[in-house]
Amino acid sequence: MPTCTINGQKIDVDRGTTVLQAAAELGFDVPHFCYHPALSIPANCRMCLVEVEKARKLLPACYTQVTEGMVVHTENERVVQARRAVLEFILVNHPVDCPICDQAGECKLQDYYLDYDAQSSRQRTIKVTKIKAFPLGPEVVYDGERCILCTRCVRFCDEVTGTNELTVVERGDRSAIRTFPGRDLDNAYSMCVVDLCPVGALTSRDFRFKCRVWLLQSADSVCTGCARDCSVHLEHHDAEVQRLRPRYNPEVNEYWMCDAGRYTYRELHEDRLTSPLINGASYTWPQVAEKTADILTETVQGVGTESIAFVFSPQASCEDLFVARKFAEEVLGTSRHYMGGKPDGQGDDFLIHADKNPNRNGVKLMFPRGSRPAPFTKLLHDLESGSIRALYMMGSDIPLVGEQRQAFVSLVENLDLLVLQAPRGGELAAHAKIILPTRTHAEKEGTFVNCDGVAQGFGKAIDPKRSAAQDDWRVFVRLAQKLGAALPYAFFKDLRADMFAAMEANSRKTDTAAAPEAPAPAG
Amino acid sequence: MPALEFSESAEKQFLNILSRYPEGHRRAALLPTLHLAQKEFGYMSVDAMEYVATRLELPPSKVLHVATFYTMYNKSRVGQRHVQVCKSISCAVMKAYSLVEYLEDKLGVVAGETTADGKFTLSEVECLAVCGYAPALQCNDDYHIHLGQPAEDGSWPKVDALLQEWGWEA
Ligand code: SF4
Ligand code: SF4
Ligand code: FES
Ligand code: FES
Repeated sequence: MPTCTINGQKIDVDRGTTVLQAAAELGFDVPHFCYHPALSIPANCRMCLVEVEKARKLLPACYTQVTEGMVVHTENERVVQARRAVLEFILVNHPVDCPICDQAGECKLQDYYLDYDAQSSRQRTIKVTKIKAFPLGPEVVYDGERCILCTRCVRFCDEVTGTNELTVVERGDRSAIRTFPGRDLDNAYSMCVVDLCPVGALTSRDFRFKCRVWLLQSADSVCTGCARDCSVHLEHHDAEVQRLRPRYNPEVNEYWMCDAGRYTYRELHEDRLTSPLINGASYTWPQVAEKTADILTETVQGVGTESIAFVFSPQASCEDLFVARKFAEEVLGTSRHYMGGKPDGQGDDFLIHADKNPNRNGVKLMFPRGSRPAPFTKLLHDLESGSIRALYMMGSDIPLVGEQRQAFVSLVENLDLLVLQAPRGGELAAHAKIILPTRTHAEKEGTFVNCDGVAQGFGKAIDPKRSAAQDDWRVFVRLAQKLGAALPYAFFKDLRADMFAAMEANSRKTDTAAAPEAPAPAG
Repeated sequence: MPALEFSESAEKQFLNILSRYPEGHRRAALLPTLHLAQKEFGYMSVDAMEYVATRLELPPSKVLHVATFYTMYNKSRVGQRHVQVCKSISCAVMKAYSLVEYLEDKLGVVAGETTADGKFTLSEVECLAVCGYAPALQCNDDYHIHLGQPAEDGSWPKVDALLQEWGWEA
């Protein structure tokens, strides 16, 4: 364990720790462009130069490993001068078009310039100009003038995806990032290079010129694109989600997320149900609760509780599912539970999971082993046999494709009752007698459990826009009250505590859907 | 599959190049293989780079990287004789710039161009590393040094002799 002194403070570090890492541990931020903790270290930008006593020249902190007795200065006059000089070099041909650059406001070059350079240009020659919008692939656009050639994007494609699409071509002031002629930057994670780019050289086609970043507000959220549940920053402006960015989570997605996941935000604003409806007429929540309670009572009397099916959505949060189960079992009194959600898609061996629902494990963990919701194909079968006459669906997703899907939709038409409690309408909205609009995960707090059993909370980002959409759990509590079997929840935090207790209890003993922090199976 | 393929003799040379590097280090053979490909196919066409990538089992982007970094790999087709005049410091002192102009006049092209008959390409290059023998030029693989100085009338006798040797007709 070498010991070193950084800016007068002593620190013990593991062998192999770099000066930059050791300084960070002490709270000294060494400015850097090319270094990224998940990539190899080329030490090409020279922004991180620091003074190491007894070394003749300044050394790159990102690459230099701490040795015993090393004395380092990261903020002294010589170092600050070097940073200024490095920035001046980097800016020689930089267009400084910050006013029209999407990166402005979250640009390392801009920030470091203000911290260390902050002089007007001394250059008296004309800058080298380059192409301003070169499409590298379907999602990513490159600006050659802004590029500082740190090669983070190149290394990402070489080391993380292994797809090797990008490279530096030419040299000197002609250098640029390119793909091989006729090939594209086209992998399932390509937009990660946009996050990696420390400047505005790489922009995503989706976010280009859409919103100034200083207008964005950010919530810690979770991607709902598949069962991986990548941690994300969900960034919004004016009650609309503008983009998703991966949020570092060593247990789930590290620094990355897939391109398809980034686009899941679009769904949050599409095809939304905005007002409670009965037979197409819109009502307030108190009215709709009253009428729905009547209709449900009538149906129960008419067809019997065991002809009522309840579909649990793996798109819903654990909290909502916890109350949903209570509602189905204790209020409706049906034990015919089915698993809804989206149909499976393609997965890969990195992050993308074939299950396109964020909370299947959450659904499972709301039930004791052995009483978990039956697969949706079973529901199809039960509808065909006529043993089900009424359907209460959470979520409008149908986990079937092709003919089975068509068969399901036409069977639903003949039901005595379809209640659709969902954020989006989809193809079932037309057949639902009762529609109860609910919030998406962006509009509420909640918890998802991913494919590996990692539970993650997500925060509320926005309010539903011009909409009466409610949290699922509140809808259940409201209906229960009218049905005379009150569910005892008024506050989210109480319900969350009960939910975690239930999850804990349900995950005991050997269980494939391992719960978070579940004790290891005994013996 | 790339449209190109090494001829029988080039293939032999290629295998010989490969044999110089340890197993599993095909990437190390990139520079000589690119030279071989340039000889074989004329210049660094997309097909040529793709072919080299396939033969060395490298991502094509990495071949592009190296082929575009070095100016000695031609990015477009050159004439039968590629005349490269050094214009770095020692040669410049020895009137290399006038030499380039002289050749431009004679060949009827400006530096960087190829004659209409496809026989000559004229280029300016950086130091050929024979500064002590300036002015110097390189034609294909041959060096021509001590090119002397222009005569009274502005002609370069040694260069004229070279042009004649190369079959250049006025
Ligand atoms: S495009 Fe961005 S990430 Fe890639 S080399 Fe240039 S500055 Fe670095
Ligand atoms: S891998 Fe899954 S969870 Fe992660 S970003 Fe993609 S779709 Fe979202
Ligand atoms: S961060 Fe150290 S040289 Fe770029
Ligand atoms: S300057 Fe011409 S050979 Fe070096």
